[in-house]
Amino acid sequence: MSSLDAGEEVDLEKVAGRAEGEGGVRHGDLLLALADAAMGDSVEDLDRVRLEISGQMGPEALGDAAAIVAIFWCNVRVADATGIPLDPVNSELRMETADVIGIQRFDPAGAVLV
Amino acid sequence: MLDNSSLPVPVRPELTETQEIAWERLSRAGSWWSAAARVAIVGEARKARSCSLCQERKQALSPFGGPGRHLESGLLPAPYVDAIHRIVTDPGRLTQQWLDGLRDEGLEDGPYIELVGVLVTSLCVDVFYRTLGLPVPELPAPESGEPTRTSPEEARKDVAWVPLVPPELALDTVYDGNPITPYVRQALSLVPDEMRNLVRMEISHYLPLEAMRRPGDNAGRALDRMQLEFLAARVSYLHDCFY
Repeated sequence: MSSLDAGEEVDLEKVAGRAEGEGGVRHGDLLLALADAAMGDSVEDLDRVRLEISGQMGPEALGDAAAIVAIFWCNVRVADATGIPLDPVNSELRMETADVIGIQRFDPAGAVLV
Repeated sequence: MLDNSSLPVPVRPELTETQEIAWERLSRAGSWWSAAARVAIVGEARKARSCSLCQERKQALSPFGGPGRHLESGLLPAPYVDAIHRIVTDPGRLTQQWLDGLRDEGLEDGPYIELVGVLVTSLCVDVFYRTLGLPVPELPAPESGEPTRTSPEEARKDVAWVPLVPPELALDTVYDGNPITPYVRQALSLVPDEMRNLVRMEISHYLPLEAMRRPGDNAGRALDRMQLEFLAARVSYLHDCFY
């Protein structure tokens, strides 16, 4: 699938954990590891990922990455708690994305508590 | 008061400022809840993480199966406690039928929307702190004051489970004249102050509304736009949400 930057390709399978490497995004593997560690219970995992991001991408990047994790934790809950529909302007892209990564699947055992 | 002076990494000032404003707002009466109740909502959200009933329901094929009692503080009415616990622990399986059931038990839309606003504000700050390896901040001390008990009369229950204020009916009074009104912004419009707070958080943590619509625009963040979206997509994926 085309990325937001014309001419570059992002592997959305990576978002669903079904691909290796960076997924076509520089340091994509590290960023996804941060999202995973923030969802999990392992302090050690989170410590390790933070150290790697800070070392390879810089401490400012770690701060901005933590902010993205935090605000999207909110956005999903606002959407889920109010039952808002997708916006017409981007619903087609989002449905396509959801189809690629299989986000509609039902897998309660795969999800974890905050 | 939230103390962001000792964060372990450099963080943009507008981000820490909006967190401090948001945290301070929790300690004041809102549109439908007293300050004490707003702080209690935050405390209840934190309790939900260790609630055994929530953990059992999370693993169940249907989250609406058996009865049970949440690990709760006893400070809030039961339907609101259930709302808090489910929004925190299992948001991807909420349904309109569930919300209608809570309405039958006395839940009202204005207080519910304010609760969602308070809940996600505190979650945003807590998750930011935890992700940076810090303990979550202490709960603010509630101030005195009474809620206004008002919501915009233009609100309509139409496309969502809750009433939204149509932008064309209240662009200036509710949306402050900004015509960029995605549904995630309209979602809390029944309680405009909570909506405005969430927009401030959205702009400082993610992107300004205008930048969201410009591919490649990262508004000067330390991550490029692809990195921002890639990370955001993973967080949404992990929550079974693709909004």
